[in-house]
Amino acid sequence: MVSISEMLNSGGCSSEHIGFVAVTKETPARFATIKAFVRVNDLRPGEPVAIIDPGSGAVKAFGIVEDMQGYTMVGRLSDLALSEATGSDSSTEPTVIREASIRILQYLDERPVLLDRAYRVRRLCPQDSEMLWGSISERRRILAGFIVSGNDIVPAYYHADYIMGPEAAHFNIGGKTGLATKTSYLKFLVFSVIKWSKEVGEAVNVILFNVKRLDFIDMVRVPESLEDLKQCMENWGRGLPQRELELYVRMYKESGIHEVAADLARRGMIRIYHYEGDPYAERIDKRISNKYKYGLSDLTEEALIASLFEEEDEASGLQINLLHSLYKHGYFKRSFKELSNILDLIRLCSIKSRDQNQKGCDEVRYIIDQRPDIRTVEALKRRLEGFMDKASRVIDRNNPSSHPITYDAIRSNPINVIQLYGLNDSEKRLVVISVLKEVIRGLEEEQRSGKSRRVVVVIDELNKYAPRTKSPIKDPIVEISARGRDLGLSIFSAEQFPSEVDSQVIGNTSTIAIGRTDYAELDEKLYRSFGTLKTLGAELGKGEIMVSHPVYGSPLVLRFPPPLDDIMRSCGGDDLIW
Amino acid sequence: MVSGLSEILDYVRRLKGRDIVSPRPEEESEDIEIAGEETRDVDEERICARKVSRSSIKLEDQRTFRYFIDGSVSSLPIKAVSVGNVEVPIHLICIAAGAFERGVFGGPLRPTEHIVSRCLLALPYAAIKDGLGQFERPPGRELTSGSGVYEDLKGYRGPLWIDTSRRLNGSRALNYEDLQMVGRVRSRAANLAKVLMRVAELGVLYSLKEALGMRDDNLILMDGPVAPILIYANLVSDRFGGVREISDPHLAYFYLRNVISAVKRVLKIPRGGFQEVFMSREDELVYVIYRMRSFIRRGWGEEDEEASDKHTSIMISAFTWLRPSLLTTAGDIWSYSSGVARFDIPIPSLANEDEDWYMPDYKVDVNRRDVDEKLDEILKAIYRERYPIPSAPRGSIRRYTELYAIYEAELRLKALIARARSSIGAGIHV
Repeated sequence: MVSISEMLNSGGCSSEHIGFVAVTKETPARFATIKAFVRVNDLRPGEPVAIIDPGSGAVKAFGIVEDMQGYTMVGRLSDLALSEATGSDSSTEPTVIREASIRILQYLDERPVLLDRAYRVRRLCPQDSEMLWGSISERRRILAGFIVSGNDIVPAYYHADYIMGPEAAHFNIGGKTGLATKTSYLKFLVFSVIKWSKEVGEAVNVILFNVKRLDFIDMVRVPESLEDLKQCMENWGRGLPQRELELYVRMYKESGIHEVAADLARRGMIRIYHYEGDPYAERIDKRISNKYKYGLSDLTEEALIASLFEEEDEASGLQINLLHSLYKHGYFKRSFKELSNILDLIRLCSIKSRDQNQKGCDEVRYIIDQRPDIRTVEALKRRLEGFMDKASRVIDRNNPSSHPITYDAIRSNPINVIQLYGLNDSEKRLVVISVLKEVIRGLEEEQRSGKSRRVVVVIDELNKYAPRTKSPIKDPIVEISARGRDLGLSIFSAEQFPSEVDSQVIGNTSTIAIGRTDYAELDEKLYRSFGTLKTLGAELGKGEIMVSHPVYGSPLVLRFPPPLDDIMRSCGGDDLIW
Repeated sequence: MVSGLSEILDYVRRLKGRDIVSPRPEEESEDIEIAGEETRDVDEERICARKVSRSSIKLEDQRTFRYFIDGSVSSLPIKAVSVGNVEVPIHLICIAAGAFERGVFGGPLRPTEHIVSRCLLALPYAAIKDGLGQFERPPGRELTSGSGVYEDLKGYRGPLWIDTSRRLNGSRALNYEDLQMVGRVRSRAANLAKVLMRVAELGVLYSLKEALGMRDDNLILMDGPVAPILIYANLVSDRFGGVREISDPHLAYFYLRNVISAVKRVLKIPRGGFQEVFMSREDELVYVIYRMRSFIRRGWGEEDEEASDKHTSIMISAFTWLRPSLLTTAGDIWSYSSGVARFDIPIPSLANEDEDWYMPDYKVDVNRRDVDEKLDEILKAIYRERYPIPSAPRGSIRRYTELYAIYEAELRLKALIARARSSIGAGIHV
């Protein structure tokens, strides 16, 4: 008979066996799930394990721990309670039996067999990586994070085709503000994507809309060397266990992400676009910054409409029609100020009788002929004037064209951060829509000329741009999430409550990640793909996410290191960036 | 697969007869009882009554039980062989015995290397052969008193079998005519299974003691009374066999010292009574201590006929209520006395080696300081084993008299047997 200790200690990968598959009447082995006895108590739900054939030592399958429970053979609480009631004089400590529920992630045999023997269970070790990710060819692997297994870190990957197209192109992360570390993960993922693009030689440009202070702006702050990284990490992680800090350094070192980020920062290839009056502009070195401003001719019709109208109402329908006519007849080729004057002229010419052939009315003849409603013209004029006042930081009133963010500018830098923080909603909408439209135009043009390029748009607080309610800005995002994968345009988005995002947008999300999330949010049907593991979403720590990705057999819990700029900041200095 | 099992199953398949599909164990390990309705006078000597209160226990320097020994057995009919017009059952006996260890100051149990788990075939071979003239001899080694039973159970890699038509000493217990009494055939298998379990338990004690060394001072708790089963000491090893007759007091002292037996079912109350036990409180247990000089036969099978007063008289027995508050509030037991547990303490645990502790007239003087201290330590160690309560249905005696560590040790051994049995089940149905 094979003894339990023999079972637990036999060889294999450097990671020793921690338990064995328990097949009983109560816990039958199934193709999708098995139960195992384990001797450790730190095997956490969400952690992957390898299932080993005790005879050959071969890995039969990989699984993920769905649940862990420990129990003793004490039958009733009262039987234990009496012990406690009589004081701590008892020398008997009941043995704890630990049972892990494991969902099979992947079978390795060509023709999988039911795991209905006392197969051994061990934690993952780095050598497993190749087998675990065997279904993703090496050139399609984008580092998603790490599986921390004991003292080992095992890289985990996304399939590039499922987050960058053509299969799918929307990654979303949700979770509680401050606890879910969503922005931190987005930064990690962006560097990972750039690293991948360099390795495989596929052109990728990333656009990050910065909506919170220096969130993405600070991405240019990267410790110069690994030594610097280590030192700064010590400062950053005061109070944290040393082992954890070492793990983070190893994540950056072994993945090569730090190297890529440091190289980009050193070469000024993280470009910052900011507006006039940006409170943080002074902190950004001019060599990596561009000022942006839009003249009327720089805008598309949709961008202007989205910026002018916050919500559709009865009146806005007529105003939009009028705007449409103005665009159609070329009035958008002028400046904002001139457009305002044109509206004045339309009003005047509409009031005067046409017979009087008022001087200057010829200029707006095409519009007058349509007999526009005077009140609509006046309302649009007021709206435009109001907008010009409100959006003064991002629009140039006097010149038809100014300094828009162009596709050419974007494609010349791997990472492009567009400062939106400090702008009002109208201004943000104008910039976001203009950039998205410009990128779509540019990609379509590249596609027509047979060139291949990918652009990733990172949108924090996606629910503000694509809410479940009506929003003029939503359409381009809906369009990207539905059609972007064909163009090579992906969205990486984040928000506190993904359930508040438009169902078309979130429905097209192929890869859903969650950081620490409320139970109430987790009850939404959006999280169905997480199965029984979804409750774990409420217990995730900082630097931990749970991911459902099309090529994974089950959701995975991944770790990722703190952002490089956070680490760098702990080394002091709020000085000039770059 | 269990050692030698495939050969055993092959043999069983070859036998002409009826397979017993989905076999169920006829008998699992039973708690060994002491007698209740003894007709002869029991020679008993009341030694003292002792109190152990919680306040007297200093956790940091208090000795606790370090090792726990238990055994479990299961007897499984797997085939019915036609002999004349009778179907004679053939059994598979699975036994498991082991020592479990705990930290110096307590903690959870861990298995030691001293664990024996074995399945073997049991059949009335000689009686069947008498009837049929010819009958294939089972494969492997036959267990007899001359064969070094414990060594075979522990170390022999091939199949083992035992002839239930003979006693271990070789004398005949079943003849061809007896095969018609199927119940008797079955009880022979069950009795021998129990004997083998006792041999295995003693063997585990022997190997543990040998590994710990002569000077080891750790307390060992054994399930069930150890005195009566010492008659099987010679089946363990020649060296340990000396304990049977106490022919080498020096060795016997070494093997028996600090080996305390826990008896959870006390069926015979000493004539002198133990009224003081009922004054126990949750934070103060009262032990009434007797020296029972007579072996009480009830509950022991014919294999144990040699059990004698000799071994009983080298023990003193401490009676107590382990869980007073539970007993006084539960109201689901017949009487307070049925909630009394007994702990047998070998005199070597109290006496010095150079004393005549093995002589029937040796006086256990609890007023002697060293004896008093040793006794006190043991009683305190028992006190600290009272909780938690083993899982058992309400009203079960186990809830009041069994110690959790022993309960858990038994579960672990039963699990070993269950695993062996599951592979047997699979083997039969292949």
